[in-house]
Amino acid sequence: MASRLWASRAASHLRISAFHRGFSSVVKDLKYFDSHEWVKVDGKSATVGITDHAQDHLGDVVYVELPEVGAPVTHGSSFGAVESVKATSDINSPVSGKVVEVNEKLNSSPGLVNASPYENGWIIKVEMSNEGELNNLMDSDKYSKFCEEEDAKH
Amino acid sequence: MNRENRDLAGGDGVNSVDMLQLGPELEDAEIRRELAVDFHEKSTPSPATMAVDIEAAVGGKREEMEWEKSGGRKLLLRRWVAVGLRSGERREGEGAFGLLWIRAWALRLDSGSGSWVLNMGFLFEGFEQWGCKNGVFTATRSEAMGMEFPLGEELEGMRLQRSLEVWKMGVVNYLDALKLQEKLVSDRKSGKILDTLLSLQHPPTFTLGKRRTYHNLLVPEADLQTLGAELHYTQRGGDITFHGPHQAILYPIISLRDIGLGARKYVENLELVMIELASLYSVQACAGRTCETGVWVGDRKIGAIGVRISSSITSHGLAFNIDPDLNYFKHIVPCGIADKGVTSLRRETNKLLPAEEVIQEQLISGFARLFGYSSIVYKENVSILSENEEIK
Repeated sequence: MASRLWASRAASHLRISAFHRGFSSVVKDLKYFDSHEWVKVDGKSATVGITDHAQDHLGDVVYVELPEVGAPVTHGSSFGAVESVKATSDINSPVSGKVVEVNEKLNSSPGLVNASPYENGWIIKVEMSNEGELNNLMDSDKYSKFCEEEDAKH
Repeated sequence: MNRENRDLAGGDGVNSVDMLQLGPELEDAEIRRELAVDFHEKSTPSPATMAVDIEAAVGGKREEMEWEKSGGRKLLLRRWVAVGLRSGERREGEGAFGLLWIRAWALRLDSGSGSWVLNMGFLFEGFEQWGCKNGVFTATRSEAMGMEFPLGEELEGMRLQRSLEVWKMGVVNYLDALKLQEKLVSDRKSGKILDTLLSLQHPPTFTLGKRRTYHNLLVPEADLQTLGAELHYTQRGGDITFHGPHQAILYPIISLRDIGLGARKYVENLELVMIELASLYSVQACAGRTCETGVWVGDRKIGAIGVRISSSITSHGLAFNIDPDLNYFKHIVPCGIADKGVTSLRRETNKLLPAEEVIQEQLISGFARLFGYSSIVYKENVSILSENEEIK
């Protein structure tokens, strides 16, 4: 049994196919960033939030720091933060552009991020400036594997 | 070749033909060896060459391996010997390298902080090429920093080495420590340094977290100066708190991604570090219930936590009350939790406390142990000024 787990972990780290165990949920037609944010694309508009894997590892979110509407965001850079268990964690944007809407509900109900990470817990909406960046993101299958590899680390 | 080996075939950058010849499956018992690694510079004029003695705890076998640093931070492993995998047996450069062995024996060298540190770990990140030909395993990587992770419980006894660099800093002004942490976080992100731990104390300082809960400060800000205290606000999580002399502080600057921890687990481990320290003095402390992160003795708080995580690199950390002046806490609602008191190790234990340095070192080694570091490197010549020329 132990050596099977060995093989699985070794394979994960070689980034080749391994035994699949799905833990966190992943939504099919979203794109994913390696710092555990998701993007839903609708024309030039992108909705951004954090994934189920992320909210699970964070713990109960008690505060969400939202950017201003109109603020610029850059692919890979932080645009806000969530606080949980006395830890503030930066949220990074998978895309560059301008913030056109923020989820005000998170001010009074930060727990939406935990309860509904892909829907009611969305964080910002961005008008994308460079749709090409979407090609750098992972699809749901790649992201699932990515999460497995990360979780296999300890 | 059994089913598992077949699953592992293929993959990018792997010389798949050779790799398919996986070694024999080893029983768990055969893997259970404790490995200790000593390192020393073999020849002083050439710091690029180091010899490593690897001692298998069982059987006391010593094997030598050499590798050279060639150009920049490249690491080239010439050959290595699998030791201790079977009692009394030695395998050298065989064509059939099991993945198991590679995992245990791939080595890398870090010179990120000016000291030679040997780490054993999983090397597949950043590898440009590797393969096994004619019995010699070679691997080249363009960056010295690599991915490493501790093995799970089922492999107890076989530990991969991760090193922690510790800075013992005495009493440090809050803002200076903040600026230092910002620099270290940036260096850690870019891989310039290893996981680092700052151990220090602050002069009397009140701090606010990102949520800026000023309402939990019970005296006007102006009065704080007369109290001889500063007030700072930070990007860490958590509410208002007080730091002062005789309160041991640890600021770990570590990569959570490298060890696969999320915020919640990280904070739980920080709580455990303090709980274990308290227990050394027969004080029974426990973690708070939901929403009350921290370490408590009954309903009195003995340890506080406030952390910032940026691209999986941590900063800020924990504060453990050895024997601070608890009167300062009267001016705040500590951590925003009313009708709960604060306490200190001095108050809670009836044991004689040793010198604070001893207690701080216990905190450091507890941290290293809980987070799976197998070696601690104390940084020499620690000075805020030398690290932050731009401050003064």
